[in-house]
Amino acid sequence: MNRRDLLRLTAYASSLVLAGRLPLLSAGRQKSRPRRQQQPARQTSAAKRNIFTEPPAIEPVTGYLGKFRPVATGTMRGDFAVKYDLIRWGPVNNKTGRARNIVSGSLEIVRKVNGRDTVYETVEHRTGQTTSRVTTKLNCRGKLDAVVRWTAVSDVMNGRNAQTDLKFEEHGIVSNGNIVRNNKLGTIESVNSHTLLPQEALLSLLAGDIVKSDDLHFDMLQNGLVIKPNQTLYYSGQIQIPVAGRTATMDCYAQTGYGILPTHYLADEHGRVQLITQQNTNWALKKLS
Amino acid sequence: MVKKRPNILFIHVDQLHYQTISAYGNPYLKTPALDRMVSDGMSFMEMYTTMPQCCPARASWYTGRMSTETGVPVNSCPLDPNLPDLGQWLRKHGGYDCVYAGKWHIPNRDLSKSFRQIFGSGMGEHNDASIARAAVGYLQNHSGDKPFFLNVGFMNPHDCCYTAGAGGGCGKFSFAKEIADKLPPLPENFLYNPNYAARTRGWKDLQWRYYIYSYYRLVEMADAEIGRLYNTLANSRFADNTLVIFTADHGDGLGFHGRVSKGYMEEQAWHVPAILIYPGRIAKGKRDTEHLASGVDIPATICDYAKVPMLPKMTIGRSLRPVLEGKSPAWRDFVIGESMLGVGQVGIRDKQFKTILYGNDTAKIYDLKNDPLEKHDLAGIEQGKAVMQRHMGYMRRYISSIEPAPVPAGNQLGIKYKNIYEKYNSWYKQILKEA
Repeated sequence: MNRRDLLRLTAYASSLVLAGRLPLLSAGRQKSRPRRQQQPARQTSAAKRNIFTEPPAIEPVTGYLGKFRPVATGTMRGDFAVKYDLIRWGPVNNKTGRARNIVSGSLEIVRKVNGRDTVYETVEHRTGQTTSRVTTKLNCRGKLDAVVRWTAVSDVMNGRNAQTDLKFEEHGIVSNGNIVRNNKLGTIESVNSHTLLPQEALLSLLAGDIVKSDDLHFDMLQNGLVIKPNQTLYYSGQIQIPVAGRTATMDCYAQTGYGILPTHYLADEHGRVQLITQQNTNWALKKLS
Repeated sequence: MVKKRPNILFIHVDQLHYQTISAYGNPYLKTPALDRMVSDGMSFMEMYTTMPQCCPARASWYTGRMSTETGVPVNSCPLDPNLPDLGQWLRKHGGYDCVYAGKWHIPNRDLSKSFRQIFGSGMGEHNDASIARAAVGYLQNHSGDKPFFLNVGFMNPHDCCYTAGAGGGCGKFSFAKEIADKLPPLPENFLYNPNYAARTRGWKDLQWRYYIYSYYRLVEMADAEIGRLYNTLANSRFADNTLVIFTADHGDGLGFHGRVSKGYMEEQAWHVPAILIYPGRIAKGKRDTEHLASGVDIPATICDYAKVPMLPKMTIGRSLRPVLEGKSPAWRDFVIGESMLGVGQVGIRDKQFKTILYGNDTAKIYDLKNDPLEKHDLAGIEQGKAVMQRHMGYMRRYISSIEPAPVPAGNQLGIKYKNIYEKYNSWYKQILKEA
């Protein structure tokens, strides 16, 4: 986004603030912002220093988008299985105006509705100097898929094999706002301030209209192992982004809160979350079935 | 005998501003894990790194020597191969299981020869959670009589240097307008100088505030992983027999004086937080403001509690143990830090005043008691002259105490780095000569 657009939108945001239509910091569900006008992505000029070139949601993945083909079939409602590639951002000193993005891992999620429970089974791999793997099984309940119990196993990989002396396993239970986590070393108890949702559950929520009409306030269980309280997820309007061979229009949702950088979820017209961008760790949908 | 040695958990983060723990009163972020550690142990509120840059500060932690002594006066310079490090030392003299996860960043020292490396390094958002999980995995499986010396080096909040923009730009900074109501204000001592850093040129207030906002989120990101680790330890059988140390290699500008990053001697870069916990031995919740502490005190304290000899030639470092255990030891009058970037800088801090000497014969002087945000430079005025005279005496004492690493022979390191060794060697000789 260029400076002129920034000033225009800042004035627009200021008017919303004055009208009391931007979110407050207090908890609770609020009406979401009015949908903003479409923001087309601009081509980056190599000669121009890039501060506000792209819509913020795609800044960390501009080097990947040119080869990204959004998945065109399937749904993230009901039972589904997805695979995301982890798209890492790396510093770049060239003049291409595009980020250096490399695939550095994957995230597979299977969601199954089983009676009154919804079960998520997740495997995440991250590669780098060392490769890690986290396997979780989450039992969730209710309209939002609030987590009620879960198991998480963390491994450090040595090639294809997990190092047994670095394995960590933990079981969690949520009951009446109290969280109890048990592992071989002991028990950790805490209290949640909002409904505890696993990050995986956001996919099916975004496939529906629930977040489009109301801001969502929740505590987030990440990887089954870390709890990040006081999160807000809201609808942030539509944006157009360049993908392989075309321009795609996406619904953009933004998440802010404790312990996360602003995170954007880009969902297509069928509610399929195609991209999740943070800062140097981002996710691109690879498969949906 | 070996059974009586305590376990040691050394947690360090990268680039943590000294005022970014919510228990200390910062309302713009929440750090529940660090807050718990503050209430479980003793905070050294006047802790200073030896050099506010990654490699030199870390080389000092692990060798016990000042940055001009280790051979690592700035990033990328190689550690003197003759200096033992804490991993080698505690393994040899204490029979410790020396384990390392995360960021090391000490050039010319093979981590895997000094420690068992259980997880590597990488950007914080990508790697820190995996580092914490590897560390708790180690704890969950640790057995036998050997005490452990577990080192966990988180990268964040250093990701503030990697804003993930296209073509090296500012990433999601344009999102600032959408969360303008959540952005913290600029610091009271914000005074932007376009000469400070190329990357901040053109930033308006909104971008500065977004930088600060996202920095706080990165601190919280590290806090969440520290909590994962610390809460596991604190609820385990190891809790009562483990010394926990938390600190940072250096701070971050965070908009103070209109700056970001590190490498200079203003408080935001030089001053770091430090928390030490040892149930039953260290007072809970105490915040020490009396003792000026240095990064080289960390290895001295570790050696003391581990019941091993001090690392060789620890010229400046002193064990914090007497202070931690409520005694009143005679303590240093001043603490010194060095940065050999640019023209070279030395920070000299006593209980009230601080002088920053520059290699181009200029100086800044601050009354930190009455001006903690360093807004009023006393250099050149009457009050400053007396401080300068006293601090130059401290500086000469300091130079006489240390053993500066000599200029390397030959041109293996290249002229750029060779000049850095020459810089402090000739500068310090000149200071002594002028006396």
